[in-house]
Amino acid sequence: MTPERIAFLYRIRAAVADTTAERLPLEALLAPADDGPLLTALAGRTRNQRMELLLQLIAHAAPLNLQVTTCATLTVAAGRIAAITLASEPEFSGQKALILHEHPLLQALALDTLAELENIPKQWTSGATPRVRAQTLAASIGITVADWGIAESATIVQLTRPGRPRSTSLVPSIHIALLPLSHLVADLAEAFALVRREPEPASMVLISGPSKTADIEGCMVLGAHGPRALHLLVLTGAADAAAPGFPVASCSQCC
Amino acid sequence: MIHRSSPYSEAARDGMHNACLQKSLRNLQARYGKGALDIWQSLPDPGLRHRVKARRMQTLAHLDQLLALLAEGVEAQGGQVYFAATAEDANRYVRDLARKHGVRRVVKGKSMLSAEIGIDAVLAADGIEVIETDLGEFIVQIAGSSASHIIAPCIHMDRQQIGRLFADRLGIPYSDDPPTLTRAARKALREKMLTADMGLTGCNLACAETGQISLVSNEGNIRMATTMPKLHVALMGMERIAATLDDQRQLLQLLTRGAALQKLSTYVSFLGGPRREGDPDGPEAFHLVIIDNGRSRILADPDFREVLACIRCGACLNICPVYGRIGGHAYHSPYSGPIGAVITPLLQGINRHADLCRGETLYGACRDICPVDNDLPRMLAALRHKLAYGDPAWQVRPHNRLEALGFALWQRSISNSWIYEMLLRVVRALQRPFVNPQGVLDPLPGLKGGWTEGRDLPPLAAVSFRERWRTTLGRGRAQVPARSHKEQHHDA
Repeated sequence: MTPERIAFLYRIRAAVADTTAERLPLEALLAPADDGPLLTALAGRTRNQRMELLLQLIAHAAPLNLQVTTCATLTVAAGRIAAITLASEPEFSGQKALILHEHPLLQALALDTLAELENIPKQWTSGATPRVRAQTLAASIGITVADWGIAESATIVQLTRPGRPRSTSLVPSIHIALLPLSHLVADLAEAFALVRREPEPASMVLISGPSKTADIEGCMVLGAHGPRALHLLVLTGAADAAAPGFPVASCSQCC
Repeated sequence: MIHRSSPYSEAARDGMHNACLQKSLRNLQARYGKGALDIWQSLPDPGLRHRVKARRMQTLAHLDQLLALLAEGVEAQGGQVYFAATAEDANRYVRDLARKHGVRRVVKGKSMLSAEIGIDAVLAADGIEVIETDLGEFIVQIAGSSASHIIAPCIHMDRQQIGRLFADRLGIPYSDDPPTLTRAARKALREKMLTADMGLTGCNLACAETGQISLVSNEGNIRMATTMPKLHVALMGMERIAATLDDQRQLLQLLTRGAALQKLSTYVSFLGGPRREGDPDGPEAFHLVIIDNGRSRILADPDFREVLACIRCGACLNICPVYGRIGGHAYHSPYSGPIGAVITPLLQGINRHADLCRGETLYGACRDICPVDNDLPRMLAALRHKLAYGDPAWQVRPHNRLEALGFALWQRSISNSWIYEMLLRVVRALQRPFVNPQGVLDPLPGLKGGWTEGRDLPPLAAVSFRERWRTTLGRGRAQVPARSHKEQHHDA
């Protein structure tokens, strides 16, 4: 420790000298809340209970302008991405272009095989920084897979990992995130119980809707600095999962 | 009494005459102030705020250990930590970093601490372009104004003013349409954020357990400033730390609810180091500057320690009847409203900001709405006490010795019934010329004018209650047993 750090911390120690009697050993102070019950609840959650959570997510997403669509198969998800892409207007660069996180689920979408997207460049976020940066800046749509979704606040959790940079969900005008239903949790406490099990700390972002501001006379405007639209495609896994009554999204922001 | 020409009362008067500000303040308070109270009242766990407060105080009692742990955690992730005792110290560190990395352009995420230490001017003196990226902060920056609300910085400006400002400074055709104006700023600031060499942000809440800081925003500017430039520097007030991830979660949820009634803000970023092996983006270097700048002195005073539990949500501004009339500029500080009236004098001098604690009403709504149950009215009263009697420990001189003498004399005279009744007779004689036909006092000359100009002050009664009791009312009634006549007079 440097002398200025020691002096700094010593000044604090002296300032709280009156609390010496109440001080705990650091391990006791940092003892984490018992995650056991949360993790047990997560492990025991049935598909029906997850569908209940999905309904909550959809209800909480609406006021945030977060567009949720359920996709029973990857083919449906790919078709939805194509529809969003075709209906979009490029904002910063003159042309439409996709940038995708390097993720097996996104590779399995096989967007390259879609005739509708034939003339639209599709890039992966792998490789050297300058290339990824240039392609991210040129992209009009960024596509990612959320690590987890949170029903209570209509939030997606994204951890930075190799090949899955932060800018994909930030710099393009439109962000599309995929979320397998099995990765949907009830609340932030459950999500953090899972985050805590990650082997080492990575940077993380919680995203609840598109970028917005109300700084001018309290008037809500979408697209302040981040994406002006956020589409969440929840993969329900089986063909019968998209039960009647689930919304088939149409996006008022970019379509 | 507030001196009539003080900067506080002048700015307060300007605020009260700014029609746009008045309208915005009414809307803000009607929506966010009431909304936050409703949220607290309907919390499924009503004990949450008190438990979180107790944990905040416990965290402060272990602050030295927790900051050391945070620093270790950041360093283990490849970040660097600097402990700055003063504003000058912090500014020097950031300036030297900027010099070392050849920084020409800095993009800022909203940070009140950056305004507290005055970093912008220090960097600008080195020829560095410093740009605010939060839309509201950007607007007040190019207008040459200052933020007047903790989370709604340009609440004092209307869309027409902002439209003229943008036409002038961004070279766009005049528009007063908020989406059009926002898009213009989006375009102009994107260019800056993608070409900046340094992102400079605050820190909402760090976590000792994880070694990461967290930052909230709705616009995404903070994500940009912490992702795109080569260098990220975060300024952190030393008290803004949670022990565990669970503590951090609860505090963040109270913060975003108190600030804007959101379960979570649009973006909550957690970061503790530079980009890792295999990450294609993120900064190459991350520096966390932990700043004291007067906080350890507040921490050492048990009367004011709890103000360091504050998480700067700004909810107290959204309910305060004084802030709601005068706006934020009268506080002459990055911290306005009730929290500003407590923290600004403690950080920058109690005598220098004497008007702040005396301008508040001690109405108590700021305590009701505070997510961490801070007793701001108690602390405002404690500041007033220091101003009245002086306090060498805080270098406070009594604000008005004459006033103190007056009250000392008053205390003497009302504890002696003979002197008191003499005084009544004298004042009755003196007031006679000022009693007007309506039976109230005309505006009085001199100092007393401030009290009588806009108010109807009734004169002293010709016969006081005590005199009437002695002569007529009390006659024949039983005296209170076991107490002499004389003692009753002393109690009166």
